[in-house]
Amino acid sequence: MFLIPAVITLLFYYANFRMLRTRIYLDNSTTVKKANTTNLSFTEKLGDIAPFIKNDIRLIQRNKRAKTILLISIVHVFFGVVFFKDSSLVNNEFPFLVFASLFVTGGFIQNYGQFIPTWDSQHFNMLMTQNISYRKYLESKWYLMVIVTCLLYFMSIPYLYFSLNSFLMISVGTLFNIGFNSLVLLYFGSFNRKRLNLNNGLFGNSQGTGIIQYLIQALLIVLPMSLFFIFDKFIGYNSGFIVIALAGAIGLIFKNYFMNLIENKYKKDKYIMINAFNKEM
Amino acid sequence: MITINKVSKKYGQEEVLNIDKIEILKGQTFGLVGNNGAGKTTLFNVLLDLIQPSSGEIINNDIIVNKSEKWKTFTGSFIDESFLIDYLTPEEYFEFIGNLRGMNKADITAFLILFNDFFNNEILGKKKYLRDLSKGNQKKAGIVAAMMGNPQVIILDEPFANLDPTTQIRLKEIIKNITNNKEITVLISSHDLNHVTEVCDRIVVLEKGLLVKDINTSPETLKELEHYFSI
Repeated sequence: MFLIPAVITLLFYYANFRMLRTRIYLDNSTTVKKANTTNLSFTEKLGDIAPFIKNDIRLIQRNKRAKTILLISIVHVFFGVVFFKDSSLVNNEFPFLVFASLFVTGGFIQNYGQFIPTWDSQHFNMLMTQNISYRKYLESKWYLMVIVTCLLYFMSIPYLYFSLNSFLMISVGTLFNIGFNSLVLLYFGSFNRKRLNLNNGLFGNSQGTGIIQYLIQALLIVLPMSLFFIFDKFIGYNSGFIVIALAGAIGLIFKNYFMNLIENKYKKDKYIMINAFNKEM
Repeated sequence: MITINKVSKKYGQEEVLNIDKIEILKGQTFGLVGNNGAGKTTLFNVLLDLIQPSSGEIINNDIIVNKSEKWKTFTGSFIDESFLIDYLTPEEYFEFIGNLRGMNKADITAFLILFNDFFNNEILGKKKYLRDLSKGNQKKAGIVAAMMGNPQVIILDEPFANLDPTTQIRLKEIIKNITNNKEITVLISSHDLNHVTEVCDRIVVLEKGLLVKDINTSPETLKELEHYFSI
């Protein structure tokens, strides 16, 4: 009766021992991953900033953390269904829909944007000495956020199926994300002082995160929501959306002005940032 | 070409660098030697505007490096692995740096062919990311990248460290070749007195942040340096 499990145990023990015995050498366990290279020549149309966009695409392809963020951004697009499928919410001018419309296309800017320029912290010294102005580097980050957000916006076109209104709300949210949030996150990026090791996963990994990240996340929700609620309360539901759209449009129209402010802030903090990014954790 | 003018750097009370004046001429191969903590890397970092000096300034080809970014167009550098992008393959990395330096695909290919011997088939076409290369091979990639796009000034920190003997010899030949016609100014730091005396026209010795020797290289230089460091 006891014999069978005992024999099985011994057999497994022996099999396991054999297997481990052959794998005991360290050099076998570290097989170097072959690089997968994709042709990204389509980015060349972007001109000056193409090399940076290319790098960022590769970063997203090859690093768990960045890849996870892209996936989360796509999940955001579908998450809006929870709100918009319920036509009674849309018809009854449910105020929290403004949150949903910002959320649908906002995933990438919020999650990727808050770690600018931390993504480049491992090779920040090189970027600061290469033949590129700080401004152009920052511009390339802005374009990356805007391009990806536009792609997410295209993915949200099926929301037309629920109602034209829900798609319009998402459009307003996208305009706000592109015009306003992108610049705000770029600005607050200059407060980043923590090196980020790209080879770690995202979940349970708070590397590169500080109090500033939580503040920004809160700000990005509280600010447009309160703006919306004020207009919604005193003027009307639609005016709330118009104000949100307007804020986005102002950001886009005066982008250069805001970029000047951002550039100066980054230049002011350059040495502190370099010093912080050079510290291994 | 480069003027180092009353540059000092203090961390709190401790002064790690204090140089009254060094004038580096165009086409000079300038060697910086000194023990650990002598301030070699600090000086290069100030020169590349990665560290703000506590006082003084460095002028690179008429440009004050912490006032304008224009020096970046003609200055190539490799200090350490923070100058590499570790998730790229060497090819992608050269493409990136080459693009920033105004080179197209054909330029980059033609340029890299010149370094075939130096690479010794260990860099290109390996389908490996830079982070998976050995220290020496990473260094090879970084050094070559620093020479891309016809820079007038090339700054290399400890270029000989981690390289195998054959590659060290090839690197010395490369440095001699690019400085042959006295157009390109090269600054290198090293712990190895043999290498610097062999390639540099001029050698400056730093100790605890101060300039203690400034020698125009002659056959006696190596002896002089060995004598100085053998205390």
